Amino acid sequence: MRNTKHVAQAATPEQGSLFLCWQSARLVARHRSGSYAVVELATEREIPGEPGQFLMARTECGPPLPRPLSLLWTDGNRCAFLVKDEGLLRARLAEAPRGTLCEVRGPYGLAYRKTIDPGRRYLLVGGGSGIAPLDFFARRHPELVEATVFGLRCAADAAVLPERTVLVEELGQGTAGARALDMWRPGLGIIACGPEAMYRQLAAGLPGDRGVYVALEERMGCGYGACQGCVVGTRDGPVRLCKDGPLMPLESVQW
Amino acid sequence: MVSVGVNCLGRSFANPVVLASGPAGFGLELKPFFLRRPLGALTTKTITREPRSGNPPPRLVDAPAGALNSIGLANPGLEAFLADVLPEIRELSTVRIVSFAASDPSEAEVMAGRLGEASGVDLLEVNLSCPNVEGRPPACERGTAWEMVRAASDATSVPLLAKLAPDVSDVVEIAEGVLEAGASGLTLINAVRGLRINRDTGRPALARRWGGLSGAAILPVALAKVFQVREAFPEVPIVGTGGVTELGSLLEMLMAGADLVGLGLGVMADPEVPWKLAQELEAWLSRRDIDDCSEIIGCAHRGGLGVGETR
Ligand SMILES: Cc1cc2nc3c(=O)[nH]c(=O)nc-3n(C[C@H](O)[C@H](O)[C@H](O)COP(=O)(O)OP(=O)(O)OC[C@H]3O[C@@H](n4cnc5c(N)ncnc54)[C@H](O)[C@@H]3O)c2cc1C
Ligand SMILES: Cc1cc2nc3c(=O)[nH]c(=O)nc-3n(C[C@H](O)[C@H](O)[C@H](O)COP(=O)(O)O)c2cc1C
Repeated sequence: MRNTKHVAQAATPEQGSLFLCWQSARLVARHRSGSYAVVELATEREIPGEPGQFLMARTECGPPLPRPLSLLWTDGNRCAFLVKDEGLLRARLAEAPRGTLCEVRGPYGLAYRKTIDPGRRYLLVGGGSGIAPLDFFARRHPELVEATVFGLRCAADAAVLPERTVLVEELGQGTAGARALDMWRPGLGIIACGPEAMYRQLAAGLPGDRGVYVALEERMGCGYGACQGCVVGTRDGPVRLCKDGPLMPLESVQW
Repeated sequence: MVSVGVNCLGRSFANPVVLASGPAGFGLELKPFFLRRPLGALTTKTITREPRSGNPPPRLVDAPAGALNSIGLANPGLEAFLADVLPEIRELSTVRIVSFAASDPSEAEVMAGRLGEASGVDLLEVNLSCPNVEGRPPACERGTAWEMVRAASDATSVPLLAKLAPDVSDVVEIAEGVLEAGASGLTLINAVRGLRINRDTGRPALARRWGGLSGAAILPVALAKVFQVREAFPEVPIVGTGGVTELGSLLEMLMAGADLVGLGLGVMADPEVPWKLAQELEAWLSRRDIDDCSEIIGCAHRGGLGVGETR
C-alpha cells in the first residue's frame, strides 16, 4: 500500500511547522463575474505556494471541515483563489465584503511540476474553478506550456479572468475538452483540471499516450496527509490526494 | 509550579492531552510539534492484521458542529506497520498507544502478542467500536467484547485499553465485561453512528451510507458515558474522547472523570490544537491556583472544584 511508503516522507523539523498552523487572512480584493469570483487575501505570513498546491480555508463560523482551495497565484503575503459562488465556504468568500477575515493554512499537495514529466510541453486544459491552478502554472512555467485551453459556461463567467482567452460554451465555442482533443498531437502532454466528464472525454479521445495528467478532487479532512479522508484507489494502490496528489497520471486513474 | 502531568496505566504522561486514534494518522505529520513541546500520548490509526484500503469515497461529510467519517480502518496492516511505521513513531518522544482491531479473538491474540513484544509500544488499545466496518462492532455486546479483550490481554503484558462504542444501551455493562476480561483502562467513546442525505441526489451523502459522527456535536454524549463509567468504576483509568476541541470542553472532560483526554476531529481541523490545549490547561490551573491537574480529574463526582480531597 502506498501509504506506508509515504510515511517515511513525513514532515521534518527542518521543514518547519508553519504550513500546519492557521493564520488569519483578510479579504483585500474581490472580482466577481457570473457565478465565479477571484478572491484576493492578505495573509500574516508568506505562503510559499506553487502551481497545483492548495490551502485549507475556513471562516470563524465554519464550515467544520476546512475546505481545499487551489492557489490562483501567490506573491509574498498576498494570494488569490478562483471560487464558484456555491457551497458554504465558497459562497461566503464570493460574497464577503472587503475586510472580511478568514483563516488559511498550507500550502499542501504536490506542485504540478513535481508530478509531471519535465521533458514535455503541455496543453493546460481547465474547466470551472479547475482553471485556477493551470492559470498559475502558465504564469510560473511558460516554458512548459504549449497552450491554455480553458472553458466556462457563459460570457459572464469568462469575464472573471479578463486577461485569459476562455471558451464560452454558451456561445457555441465548444468545451475545453473537445478543443484540447483537436489541438493535441503526439508527444504533447496534457495537464487537466476540471469536471470528471472532461477527463473521460480526454481519456476516450486520446491514444494511450503517457504524459496526460488529471487533477482529482475528493472531500478533504486534514489536508496534511494524516486522516485518510481523501484517499482514492488508483492502479498503483490507494493514494492520499492531499499529499500525493491532487495531480495523477491519467493511466493510473480508476474510473 | 503547576503540574499537568498524569500518572496512570503504569505510565507517566506529560499532560492529559492525547491524540485519538485515526484523524492524526500515525502522528508523523505532526512531528514538528512533538519536537517543540511535550504531549501526553499519541494513539496510532487502528491497525488490522491485513492491510485495508478502507471505504470508497466520499468518506467525509460535514455535520452541524462536527463531521461524519467512513474511513473504514484504512491502514497498512500489521506487518507493514511493524516494519515501516513503528520505527518512525519510536522517534516521537511521547507515550505511544498502538490501536488495533481484530475480526475474532484468535486474531486479537495474535495482534496483541505481536504488537506487545515490539519495542516502542507503550500501551495497546483494542478498538472494539469502529462504526465503519462490516458487521456489528464487538463493543455492542458484552460477551463478544469480553472474548476479544480476554484473548488480547492474555497475549501480552502491555496494559490494554478497550475502546468502547457510544451506540449501546448500557455502556457500564460493556465496561464491566471488558474490565473483567483484563482491560487496564477504557477509551470512551468512538464516533457515534450517523447519516446524512445529499439533497441534490436524494441519496446518502457518504458512499458507505453510514458514518461516525465526531466533533463538538458529540461532546455531551461522550461526557455522559465518561461520567457514568467513572461513577461505576472510580479507580479505572479513562481516556475521555469525543467532541473536545477547545479548553472548555477539555476541562469538562477531565472534570467528568477522564484521566486523559483524546482529540480526534479537533486535530484534523487544527493540527496545532493538542499542544495549544496542553498549554492553556496549565495556564488555567495556575490562574485558579490549582497545583495539580489531578485535583480537577473527576471533581464532578466529588461535589465540584475545591470540595473534598484530591484523588
Ligand atoms: C485540491 C482541491 C482544490 C480545490 N480548489 C478549488 C478552487 O480553487 N476553487 C473552487 O471553487 N473549488 C475548489 N475545490 C473544490 C472545493 O474545495 C469543494 O467543492 C468544497 O466542498 C467547497 O466547499 P464549500 O463549503 O464552498 O461547498 P460545500 O458546502 O462543500 O458544497 C460543495 C457542493 O456540495 C453541495 N453540498 C454540500 N453539502 C450538501 C448536502 N448536505 N446535500 C447536498 N449537497 C450538498 C453544495 O451544494 C455544493 O454543490 C478544490 C478541491 C480540491 C480537492
Ligand atoms: C477521520 C477519522 C478517523 C478515525 N479513525 C479511527 C480509528 O482508526 N480507530 C479508532 O478507534 N477511532 C477512530 N476515529 C474515532 C476517534 O478516535 C474518536 O473516538 C472520535 O472521532 C470522537 O472524538 P472527536 O469528537 O474528538 O473526533 C476516527 C475519527 C475520525 C474523525
